[in-house]
Amino acid sequence: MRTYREVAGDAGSDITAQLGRMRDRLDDRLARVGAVVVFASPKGGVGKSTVAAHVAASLARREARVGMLDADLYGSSLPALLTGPASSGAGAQGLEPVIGPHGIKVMSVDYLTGHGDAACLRWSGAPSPALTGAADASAVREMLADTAWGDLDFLIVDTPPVTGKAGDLIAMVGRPAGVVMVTLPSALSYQVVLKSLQVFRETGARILGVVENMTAVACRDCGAETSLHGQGCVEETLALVGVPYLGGLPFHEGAFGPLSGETPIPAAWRERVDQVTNRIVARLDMRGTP
Amino acid sequence: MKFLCLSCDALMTLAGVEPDEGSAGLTFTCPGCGASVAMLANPGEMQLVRGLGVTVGGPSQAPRPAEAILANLAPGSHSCSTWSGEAEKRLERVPSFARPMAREAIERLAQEQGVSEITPAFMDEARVQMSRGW
Repeated sequence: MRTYREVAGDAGSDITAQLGRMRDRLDDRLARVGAVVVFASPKGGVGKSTVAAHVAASLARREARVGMLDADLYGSSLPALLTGPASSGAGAQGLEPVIGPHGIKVMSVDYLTGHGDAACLRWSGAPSPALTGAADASAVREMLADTAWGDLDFLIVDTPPVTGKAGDLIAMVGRPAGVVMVTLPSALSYQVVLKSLQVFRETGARILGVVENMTAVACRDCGAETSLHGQGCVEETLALVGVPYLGGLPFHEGAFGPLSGETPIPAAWRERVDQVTNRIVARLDMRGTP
Repeated sequence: MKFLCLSCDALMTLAGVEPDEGSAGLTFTCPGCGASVAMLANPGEMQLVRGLGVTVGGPSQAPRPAEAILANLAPGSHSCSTWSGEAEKRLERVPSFARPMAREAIERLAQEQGVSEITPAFMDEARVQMSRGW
């Protein structure tokens, strides 16, 4: 009897061809994007979304064409940070992204579920890790491929906390130009980030570097900064393992609110975000993209 | 998965798909001798296929944007109810961190009861009904 591989064709199921067409749709869409940059961290609550949104705003303030995809399907933060509750409809070119501050084009599953920030995403059918994983991957890929991003210089992908599933994440996104990791200054956080860096490297993804978030808290009166977890441990550790340190951002309450919100963000904090952004762009330039 | 007709050594081809409450019967026919077999796929197998965003036998029309996402959402993951202005205002009084959960619970109840518009009166009713569950 012939084996599976010896029998050509798909017997009319069309599944292989459909998966191929999906990849083509994704490739066509991303062909108009200069660089896809993934923001990731194995730890939740480190400020991935916040840092990613501020880096996106920093790029957009300098007139780069920027899109942001919220790949954190169950913990979406981008609508709250960038647009508020909104919904997306289908236009001639695909799903219409919601426009955030500085013209950032944002897509989140929250915009598709019909009630803004209230959606608690659940897939139909019996709960199962394998089936949920397939639906999650398909949803991220579909949002990437079906959103009418237009021509972008940067598409920033905000991801859920992952370590072991880094390969799945990279496969969902296609071929990102690089990965930016975000950590807190605590040893508990950056030790896990170091492990995760290794897993990401094994996927073939390029690590652009690590952003250290919430390095210190500033006094409301005099502005003096108090370090929360000691000085210089993350930067020094990264130097020893050969991973670029992209900079540190002190805690500022305004950074956690909507970017167009009322809490003013100090110019000094914004400058630090600009420095982090410059380093990310410089790392992208080193390999010729965008 | 492929089916081989051992008599003809030919790949059997998909002749039809009959969905049935999440599961499906897939019929394959041998192009040589015409013999048929049916594969009965369980709901988990069909869920995996849907999760991948594909259709056995191919889609009947070109895919619409976000088609798989919208098709795979569980009931209650997207709202079928609208909120009156007064009800929205009242919901604003719930702290922001708890608002999504409150909104979802009320919408789910509205869906279960076939209520299309959520009003302050329905919120009062929902409050009474939900408190019985504790």
